[in-house]
Amino acid sequence: MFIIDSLTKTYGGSTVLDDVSFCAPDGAITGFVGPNGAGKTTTMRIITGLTHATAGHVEVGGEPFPAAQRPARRLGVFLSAEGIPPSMTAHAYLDYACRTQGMPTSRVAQVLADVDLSWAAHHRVTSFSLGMRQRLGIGAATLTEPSHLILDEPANGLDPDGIRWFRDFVRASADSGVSILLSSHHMRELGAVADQVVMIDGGRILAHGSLQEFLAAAQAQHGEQQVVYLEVSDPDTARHALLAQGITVERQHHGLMAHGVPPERLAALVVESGVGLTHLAAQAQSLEDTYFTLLGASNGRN
Amino acid sequence: MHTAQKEARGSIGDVRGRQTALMVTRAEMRRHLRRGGMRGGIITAASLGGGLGLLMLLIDNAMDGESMLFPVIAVGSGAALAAFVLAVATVFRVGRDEQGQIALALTLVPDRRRLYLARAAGFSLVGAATCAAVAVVLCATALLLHAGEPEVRWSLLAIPLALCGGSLAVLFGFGLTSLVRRSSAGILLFIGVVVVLPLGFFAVGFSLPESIAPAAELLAMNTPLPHLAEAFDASSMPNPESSGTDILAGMTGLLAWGLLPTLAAWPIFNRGEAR
Repeated sequence: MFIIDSLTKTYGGSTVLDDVSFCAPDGAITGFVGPNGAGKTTTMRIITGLTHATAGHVEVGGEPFPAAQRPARRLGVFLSAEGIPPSMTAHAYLDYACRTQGMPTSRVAQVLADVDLSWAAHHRVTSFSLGMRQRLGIGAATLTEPSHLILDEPANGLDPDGIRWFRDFVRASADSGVSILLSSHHMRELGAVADQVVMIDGGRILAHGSLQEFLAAAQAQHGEQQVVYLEVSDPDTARHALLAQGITVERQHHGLMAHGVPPERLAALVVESGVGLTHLAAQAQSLEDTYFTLLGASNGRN
Repeated sequence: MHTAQKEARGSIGDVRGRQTALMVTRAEMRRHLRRGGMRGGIITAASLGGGLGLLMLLIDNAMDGESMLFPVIAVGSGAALAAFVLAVATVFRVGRDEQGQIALALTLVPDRRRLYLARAAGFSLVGAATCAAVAVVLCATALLLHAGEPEVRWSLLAIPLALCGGSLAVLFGFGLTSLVRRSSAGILLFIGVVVVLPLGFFAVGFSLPESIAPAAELLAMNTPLPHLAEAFDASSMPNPESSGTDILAGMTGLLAWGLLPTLAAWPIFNRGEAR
């Protein structure tokens, strides 16, 4: 489990993290979201020991990461594909990682095959595309089968196959008990895999909880109404009938979008107006919608 | 599941016990010897150092030199040049490591003391091995060319001297660049300390009253380059003509110049942001 407790980081007079606290449990994928400059990378760098916190405490598996006896078995890290030393070859990079942990280097070939880079094993990283660097970085983070993973924007530059592979991989890892802290701007991707979400903005935690709690709380907190999409045989007649009932309704694509009314009541009203109902679906609030809702509210407060 | 249990699970059952500085030092050395590591610097240093030594030995042989200590000097000179070139190569390598390698290494070796020690040792051991290899080749050549000459056997002493001196010269380059964390600044500092500083002391010495001018000269002679020359000079080992203290003084000076910047750079490495 990651425990981040009252983390504060200041540079000169500027506070980039302000009393940040959250937990990322074992066996779960914790999505870490926020706009650029929100403090995600600084938090991750402090967890990994690359940056020192001004105040606060971080534990990875029950102790600060630098105290781990077998560091790469405790925590696998992928912070940036740009950080992979460009002069090294893919093989040398993974070989170095293995040797620092006293691990057999036979694992290198296996990981290179897993991330589909066997053919480029002895090419310098500088000749790699962004996607190849991403795959190599993810491979390196998982080389030692760590009990914790920190992944910062891992899906950047991955092709659809790579994204699917990555999604399956993190899901399987979490299911086997690994604690994963995953930062991403791809809300749809994150929404598909995250078990819980931590949202940060301006160095402060805005929201934190399971994905369902996160979506529901944001909806409740900001008075968001249920949205229902419906397709009918005569949209104009149906729209007028709903407007007459005081329902907010708007045209969208081939149908209508109604706000603030349960789907069953909408269906009854449409049928009563003598219009044929061909499709009706309650619109679920997505992680992306929630993210922008919370961000907008935060910016409004600031 | 407890963290320790999780760390023991999976297909990697044969991870050795806890991480040690020795384990990391070996990984660092291996990195230097790989493509993208210090191969270029090692080859350049060995070629230049070996080339100078061989050239001196061949010229001495062709001219049928009378001084039997000259082959010993040739072996020491070759090894010293190799050490100097390796120190320069280390400046560039350490500076380049700041572009991602340190951050990568810290995610694998989060104990900064362990990593710093291993990095310093890794560079030094590669320097030691390269200089010793140059000395071995030159020694073998000197002994072949001057078989039966007892004085030439002194050149064998150049091997342990190269081993120690090479590691200290490289440690000096490592420490200096660790202080400034950039190749460009590192090389400027290196030139400043190795070339400008002694010249400055000599220049100041000329403008000082005669009574205190020797102090400036003493300072100039205690800069790294004179110590490097002394430390590698196997011809000044204890013999009827020499007390042998020059080597000791050179090696001590080189040790001080190696340790001083390396220790001074430790707080910077320990507290600094890894790039």
